[in-house]
Amino acid sequence: MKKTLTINISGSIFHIDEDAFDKLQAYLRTINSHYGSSEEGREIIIDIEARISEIFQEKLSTKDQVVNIEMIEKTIAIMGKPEEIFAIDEDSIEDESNQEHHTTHTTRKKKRRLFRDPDHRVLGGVASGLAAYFGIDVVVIRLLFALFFFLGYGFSFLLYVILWIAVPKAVTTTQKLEMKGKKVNISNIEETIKDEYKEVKESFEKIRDKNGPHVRDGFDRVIDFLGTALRLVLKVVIIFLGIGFVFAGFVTLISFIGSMIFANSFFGPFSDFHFPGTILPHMFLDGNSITLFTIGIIVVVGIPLLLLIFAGLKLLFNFRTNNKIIGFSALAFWLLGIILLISLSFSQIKGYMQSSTRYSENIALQTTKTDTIYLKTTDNIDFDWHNGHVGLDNIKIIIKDDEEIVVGEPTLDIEKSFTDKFEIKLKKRARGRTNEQAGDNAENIEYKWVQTDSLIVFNQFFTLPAHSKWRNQKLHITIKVPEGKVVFLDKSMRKIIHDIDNVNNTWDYDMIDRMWIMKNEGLSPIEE
Amino acid sequence: MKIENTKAQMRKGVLEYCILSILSRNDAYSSDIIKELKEAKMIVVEGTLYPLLTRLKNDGLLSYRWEESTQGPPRKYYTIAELGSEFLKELDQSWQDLVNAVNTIKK
Repeated sequence: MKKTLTINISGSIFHIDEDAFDKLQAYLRTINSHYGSSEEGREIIIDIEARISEIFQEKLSTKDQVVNIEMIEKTIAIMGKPEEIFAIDEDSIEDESNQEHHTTHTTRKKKRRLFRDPDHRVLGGVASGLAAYFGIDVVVIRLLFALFFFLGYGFSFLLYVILWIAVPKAVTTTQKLEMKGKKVNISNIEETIKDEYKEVKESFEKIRDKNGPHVRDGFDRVIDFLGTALRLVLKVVIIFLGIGFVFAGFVTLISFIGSMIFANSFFGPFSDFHFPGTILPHMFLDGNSITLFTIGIIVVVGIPLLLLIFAGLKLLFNFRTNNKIIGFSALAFWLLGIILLISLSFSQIKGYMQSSTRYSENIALQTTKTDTIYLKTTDNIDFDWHNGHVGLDNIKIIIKDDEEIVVGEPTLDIEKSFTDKFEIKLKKRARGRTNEQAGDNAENIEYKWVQTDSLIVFNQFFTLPAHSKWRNQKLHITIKVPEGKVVFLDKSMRKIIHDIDNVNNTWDYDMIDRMWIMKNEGLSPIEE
Repeated sequence: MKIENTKAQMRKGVLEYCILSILSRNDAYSSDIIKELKEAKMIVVEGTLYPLLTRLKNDGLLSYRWEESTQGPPRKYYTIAELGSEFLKELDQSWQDLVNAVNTIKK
């Protein structure tokens, strides 16, 4: 069973299969768009349609009542493919423009289209095609491509590939002629617009001059005039739009790819650059995942940008392409990119599923001569905030001497000890794919503090092994102070103390540079 | 590519000449003209004829009238115009000249 449509060609009614209809429509559209809407063009189209109608009538019999796709193919074979039909009459235009007395009827001119030139190609014929299009020597174009390529921008190569894919090859004679057709340059565009303007004016005059040689319905004339006027406006808009599309697409693409190159070692030689932010992905991902993420992001962001450039080029250069295939394959790749990103995200999230905590033993401090301990913090890592670093929560990656150091800021709290000794307890926490991995990640936290008699010096940062990933590592230090003993918080302690409970709810930053005594009810300030 | 161009140019000129010659004998439907041109192997596909007919008509070399046909809607029935007849005479002459010239050179 097949769906059938009813069509009217040149006054006769036919039943036609849907696929046959599509083919016929595509055929007529090509012819239509070639001859345009000039009076002469319309007449040619009407004649051709009348002939197609005749052919159908000859071929249809009582047995075959429906026009099918074979019939369309045969009809096209009889009538000739569009380029076969155009071939002869484009030459006639060129011919006529040379002869003064013939030019009156033909205002149409052969438009130049962008094609790849297979006769003078090195790779895909893009450069030679562009050269033909712009009327410049091909050497100039090739030099430009090569120059940009060796300047370190791979973008010219990218542009080349885009054009290679997008621009059709000039196969037929017509296409080869079109490739070198009427010049396209600024004055030419101007000319086109002027022509259009003239057409607008003419059709406007025709409205007023209703008794002219071609009397038609006045309403028709108005429609005609509006049509031409609209086309003129549209042409201007399209040119600007095309330039805008190409420009915007390129700028975005270049900056986007640039950022991807700098942000990832994926692109090899560029990874020497260490900008803040460039190492961010390293915090979370291993090398393979970064590569895959990069590819995914490039595909997902890049494809719409490429399509934008493509659309712009099409608007400007007016070349024919199979939009359906390009559209579908772009969509397919884009979806693949999305799927890649989503599946990577899921696998990454798994890396944070489990949380594990490792406690150290209570470490009793050596007995001190006095009942007071002095707490200080030291910068165990010479770290300048102006240097490049990235951080998330309390974990930071610092670039020092071209090496990555992964560090974290510990937190410190003071509690009452249940023994009569000062004690210190470290609590390490991290996440991981499994409980064990989380435990390992926690174990990897390295931290040092030093006691010299009553002075205890804490490192400002804990460190992680090189190339560690962010797994929400945390280190919490608890200092246990027996009742009646005193703690002095040096100014430097403000960097690590965190929410220390005390009897009068003093803020952390106001607790420093003071003595605190542990009483039964809690940590209390000693007034001086 | 150049040869293609030249061939197309030659064919196009001769094609116009042939159309005018056919019409100078009898008025004809476009399908009749096509049939003759196809027999003479002047055209391969029919589509090429219609643009030519329209342009010749617009140049005033031929005209047409609508004729009822036995099957289907009315069809264009082409006639050579006065201007076309004059044109054809000139073409006849220049065709002879050309043939002579080529024959002389090729001999």
